[in-house]
Parts: sequence; C-alpha cells; structure tokens
Amino acid sequence: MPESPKPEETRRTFLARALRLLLGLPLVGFAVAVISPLTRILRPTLRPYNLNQEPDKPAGAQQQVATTANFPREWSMYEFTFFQKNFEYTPRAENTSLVPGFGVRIGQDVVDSVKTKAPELYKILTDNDNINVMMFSRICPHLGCIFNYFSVNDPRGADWYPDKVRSDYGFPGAKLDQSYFACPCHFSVYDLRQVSTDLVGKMKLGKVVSGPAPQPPHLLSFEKRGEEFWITGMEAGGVS
Amino acid sequence: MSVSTLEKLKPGLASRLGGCWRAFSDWWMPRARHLDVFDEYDAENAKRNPWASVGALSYFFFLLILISGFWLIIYYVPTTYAAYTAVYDIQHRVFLGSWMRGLHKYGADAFLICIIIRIYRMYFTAEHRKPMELSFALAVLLLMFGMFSGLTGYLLIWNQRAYWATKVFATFPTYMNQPYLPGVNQGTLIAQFMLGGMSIGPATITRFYAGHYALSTLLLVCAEVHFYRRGVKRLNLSRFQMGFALLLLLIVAAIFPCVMGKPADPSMTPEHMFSDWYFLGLYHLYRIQDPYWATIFTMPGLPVAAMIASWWDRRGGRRPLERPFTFTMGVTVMIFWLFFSVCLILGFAHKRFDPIIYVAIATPILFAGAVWEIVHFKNRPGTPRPFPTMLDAAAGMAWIVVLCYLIYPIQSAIKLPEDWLTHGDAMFKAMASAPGAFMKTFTQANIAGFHDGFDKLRQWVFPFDALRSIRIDAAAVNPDPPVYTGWWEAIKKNDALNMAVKFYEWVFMAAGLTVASLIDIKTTRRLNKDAPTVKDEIPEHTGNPDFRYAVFWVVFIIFLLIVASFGIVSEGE
Repeated sequence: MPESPKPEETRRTFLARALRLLLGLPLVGFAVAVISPLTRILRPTLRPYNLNQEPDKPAGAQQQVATTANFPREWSMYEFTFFQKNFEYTPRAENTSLVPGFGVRIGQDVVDSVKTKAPELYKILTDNDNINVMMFSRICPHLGCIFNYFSVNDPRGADWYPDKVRSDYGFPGAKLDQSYFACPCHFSVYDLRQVSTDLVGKMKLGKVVSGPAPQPPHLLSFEKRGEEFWITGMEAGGVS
Repeated sequence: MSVSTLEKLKPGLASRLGGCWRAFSDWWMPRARHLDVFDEYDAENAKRNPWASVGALSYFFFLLILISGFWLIIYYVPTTYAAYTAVYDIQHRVFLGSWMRGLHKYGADAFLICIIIRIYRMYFTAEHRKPMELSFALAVLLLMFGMFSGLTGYLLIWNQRAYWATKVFATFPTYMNQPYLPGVNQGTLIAQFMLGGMSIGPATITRFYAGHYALSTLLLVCAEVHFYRRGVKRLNLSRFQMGFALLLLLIVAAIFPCVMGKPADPSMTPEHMFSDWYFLGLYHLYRIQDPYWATIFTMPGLPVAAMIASWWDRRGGRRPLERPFTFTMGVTVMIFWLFFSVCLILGFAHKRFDPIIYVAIATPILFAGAVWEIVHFKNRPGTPRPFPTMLDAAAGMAWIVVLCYLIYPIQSAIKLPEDWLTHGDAMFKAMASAPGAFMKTFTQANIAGFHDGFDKLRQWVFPFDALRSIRIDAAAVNPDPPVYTGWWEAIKKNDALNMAVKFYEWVFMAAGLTVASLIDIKTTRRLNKDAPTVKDEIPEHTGNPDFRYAVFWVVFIIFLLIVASFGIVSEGE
C-alpha cells in the first residue's frame, strides 16, 4: 500500500482540529440525551434528564422502639427493629424493610470526655433528660451486613462478651471490660468508647479499631418523649 | 464561520473520519474473523489435546443449564414471600425437580470451571496473541457473565447466604461516590439500577430474575448466530464425552443434593458465612483492603487488566516456559487466588498485617521471574522485543499502586458539604445562583482537605515522627501506644508505621521491576542489533491423547467435587 505523505501541521490545521473537537460536543450531548431516558427505565423515581438527582432517601415512619426501663445501667444495650420505607419500582412504589438497630446507654466517663471533643454528640446524649442513650443503625457502614454488640454487661451471656471479638473477629487488642460492635462479614470492629469522624466530617462514637470499615456506624435520629424513645429517621447511605 | 473555512474543513473532516474508520476496521476485521467464542475453531486440536475442548465443553454445560433452567422457571415464583417455598417444592415435590436443580447448579459450577480453565489455557499457551485478542477478552467477559449469573441466580433462592451476598455486592458500588465528582452519585445510581431501589425487596428479585434469564438467553442467541454465520460445528465433542459429562453432573447431583440454607432474614447476618467459590478470593480482598480501592481493583481493575494482558505478552515463543515472566506472573496470580480463597475459609484477615505478608511473598517470586526473563532472552538473541512486555507492564502497574497510595490520603481528606455530596441539584443551584460564594466554599473545602491529606501523607511517607516516638518494651503489661511489645506489634498497631511499611514494600517492588526491565531493554537491544529475527510459530501438540484426556478428566472431576462439597459446607448445614 503506497503511503500518503503526512500533512504538515500548521496553525490552520491545528485550529481546524480544535474546531472539530468542539463540533463533537453536541454529539456527546445528543448521546447523553438519548441515553438519559433509558436510564430512567432502570431507576423510575428519576426526574427527566436529571441524573444528578439526590439518591432516594428512606422515609421512615415515627415509631416507638424502647423505653428508659430498657437501659438499667451503663453499657446496657437494647436490640430493636423498625420499619423503614424505601422507594422501589413496585406497584406501591415503595418497599418496607425491617431495619435492625441498637440502643446503647453510653458510660458516664465517655459522655464526660465527649463534652468538649464533640459537643453535638454530647447534646444528643444528654438533651431532653436523655440517660446517655445513643441509637445506632446495625447496618455496617462497610458493606451492609448486620453487626453485633459485645460487652461484659450484656445480659445475653458469655457468647456476647468481648473475648469473642478477640477470637472470632480478628481483633486481639479487644479489652475485656469495654464495649464493641463487630461485624461477622468482613470483621470490622468498632470501639464504642472512642470518637472519630465519618466520611463527611461528623463526629461519631464507635471508632473503627480493626477491619476495613471506612467510618463509624450510622446513627438513627430519635426523640425522647417522656420515658419513650421514638425513632424519627435514619442517615442516608448504604443499602438497607 | 465564513464559507471558505467550512469548505476547507469539510473534506478534512470526511477524510479524517474515513481514516479513523479505516484504521479501526484494519485493526478490527482480522480479529473479528478469528473470533473464537467456545473453541469452535479448535476442532482438529481438540482431537489430540483435551484442554482445547474446554470451550466446547463449557458450551455443552451452558446448554444443559438452559434446559434445566427452563424446567425450573415453570415452577419458580419470583416473589419475596414465595421464592423460598417454591424452591423447596422444586427440590422435594416436583417431578425430576431435585435432578434438574442439581443439573442447573452443578452445571453452572462446571461451566465456570471450564471458563476458568480456558482463560488460563489461553494465557499460558499465548493464544491471546494477535489476532486472538478479542477472543481472550471475550473469554474474560464470559467469566464475568458466569459470575453475574451466579449472583443473580443465587438470590432467587432467597436464603440467608444469597441475601447477604447480594447486599454486599450491591453496597460496594456506593463507594464510587467520591468527592472529586460531587453530586453525581454514580455509585448509588449503580446500586439503585441493580436493586430497583435502595433496599433488597420485591423489585430486586424481579430484576435479578429478569437479568438471570435474559442474559443467558441473549448469550444463547448470539452464540447460535455466530455459529450459523461462520458455518462451524458448535460442539467439538464426541458423544462419549458429552454423555460422560452429563453422567458426571448427575452423579454429583446424587451425591451432593443441592441445599437450601435458611430463609433470608434481613435482621440477622449469619456468622461463618461464605460466598460462592468463585468469589472467595475477591471476598478476601474486601476484608483486607479499603473498600474504595477494593471496588476499583475488583470491578473495573482486574477484568480490564486481564483483557489487556494480551497486548503486553508479545515476546518469545508460545510455550509457557518460553515466556518466563508472563509464566511467573500467571502462576503467582493463580497461587494467590487459591491462597486467598483458603484464607477466607480459614478466617484469616488482618487489614494491617496480611497485605504486608502477601506483597513480601509476591516480590521475590516476581523478581525471580524477572531475572529468569533476562537470562532467558539473553541466550536467545533475535527475539523481537515490542514495548511494553509483561515485565514493563508489571513495573508500570506496581508504580500505579504506589501512585494510588500517594493519591488516596489527599482524595479521602477532601470534605465537601454533605448536601453537595448526596444532592447534585443543590450544588448546581448554588453554582448558578451565587458563583462567587460557590467557588469560595468549594476552594475552602478543598484547601482544608488538601492540607489534611498532605499532613497524613507526610506522616507515613517520612515516618520519622513515628519511629522516634515508638518504644519497644517486650516486658510491658497492657502496653498503650507508643509502647509496643515488639516491632511486629508496632507495625500492626501504629498507623503511620503500618502505612509506611506497605508503601515502601510497593516502592521496592516497583523499583526492582523497573530496574529489571531497563536491564532487559538494554541487553536485548545490544544482542538484537545483528542477530536474525526469530519467527513466532505455533507449537505442535505431541504425546498420547488418551493419556492427556484421562489426566484432564481426573483434574476436572477433582475440581468439581471440591466445588460441589464446598457448596454444601458454605450453607452451614
């Protein structure tokens, strides 16, 4: 095959090439416009041509999940589930899923240490005559499994003491007199006595001390009405 | 734009586009002509070499899966409340139900075994070289198809293992939401596309059912059209072979009847749970790595690297031992895949400790391979050395890992307002209504983030602070940082030291491979100057085909039995 000589690169040819690139932009826009409605089929709650729409947030109903009697002493835990509504492509346009949560009465020493470090947390723990109770979603912020609570104060027995975290969850540094969340899927361990920031910079209890989780557990927003604890919502993020 | 400019532009555009198209078609056509999906062009070869028939065998298993699948869909009910019972009925009440389900499940396992054997065969015998690049890429795609079908099919049983596997699988794309693309939520979007919402529910089971069924049918149609158009025989297998394979599956289905597990319970994750056998290695990666990098590495990273490996391996003969570094690399990957799977089953996972050991094992193996490569081609002058070879590419990939280590602390330290991260509209509205304020917030968040990130980076790229503060005291009781009982403990527990060790391990590997590849380039250039070029020839298969077939089936049966028995164990029954 005879080779044609390479055309000389001048300012004119360069400009022409740049112009051609610019002409390509409408083509890309056209492609996006064609593809965008197709993606809407896959995610029906999407508004037209609006791929930047926020992710569908869960819409939980307000539910009473616990009372103060469920937390007789420091580090006592109460396990509950609540109904959370998610948008879904079903005739009812929503799916109600059961989300498990933990209410934990945080120790007074930790609450005192939080007072200056994380005033927002301190406010949640003490506001409205709260007895230092914090509500956690049990959905692991790593990949969505349900984590467990380990503490010597756990009334469920020795199966839920922190030495289990040492042996089964790959965290030999677990101290026997402290409280941990630990996830069976990828062995993330959260220390409830330590504070750290999540992905958007919020201070939270439950520092990741072992395993791959990138942030402390999600919190449930709640209200104390008299002696009752009411769940009012859940942080966005993750799959439930 | 004046008329004259347009006139000048028009022929230029046309010829440029035409040139692009010609270049593309010159590249594409020979490869498309050699497209070999299920070893249909290896008929002659397969008579002497059983490994050349795994493609045909995988298509045979695929047909078996389809036939048994059509049987199953008659009785299956794709709803969250009836799925488990429907599968139970299929297993215990439906006529031939348990046989068909066994055929379906173990057929799928056998299909994947064949695809994996085929990928390794193509890799080790350099079948992926020009003009077979597309066939190799397609083989990798077929593996991904198999894995996707495995995942979607598994959820249909609606048991504990399936539910949690799906949840993990659907959650990891959400890590693609990163601050450098605020408001796009590409990860959440992928998760929502997959699940049909933000939770695993009725829409998910419908979607997975449709995907499981439609994708297989699509593959069947495409494969049949391909066979028809090329006029090739679709199954290069003797009747004896096909009968033997079918009998094998039936025997396995009789020995290990498919298990059900426990029905899905969204409020309880079972302990000691395993994924399907082909996901085990990847699952282990998720235990020892940051989820963001694990996602990047497993989803686009690994398959893409495998697909483009064919462009990196163009040097030397086609026998495995004639391409020393490529061979070493393949063996290392294979060993690590098996090793990771075993690690997961045994429950070894320490995020801070294991990667150090794995890289420490891999580095000397790869260095040995590099030395072998240099010596090998030093003795064979005249072998062309295109750039990059597998050695150069391995060095490049190790440098990319080093680069990731450098980028990640900065990237993860960037904090944008939470509103912008999840809510694209808010960001664009802010941008449109008050551009000045927007730019201010944007830069402020980024500057603060960059500052934090560089500080973190400094702590472990130059870990002098950490080294100065650490004190080793073997006799310490309940030591608190910075006192540690030994150096291993310090590496495990001290953040900066841990990252520094991991980082410099990778730097060492990358530097070593780069030096090796530079030495290799230099010696080859010197030797190849005057030597006549050695031609690339396809080797003949010799030896006793009956013996080879016997070995093949023994290997295959052992593999299938291990996989099938693992399927029982992993359900915890």
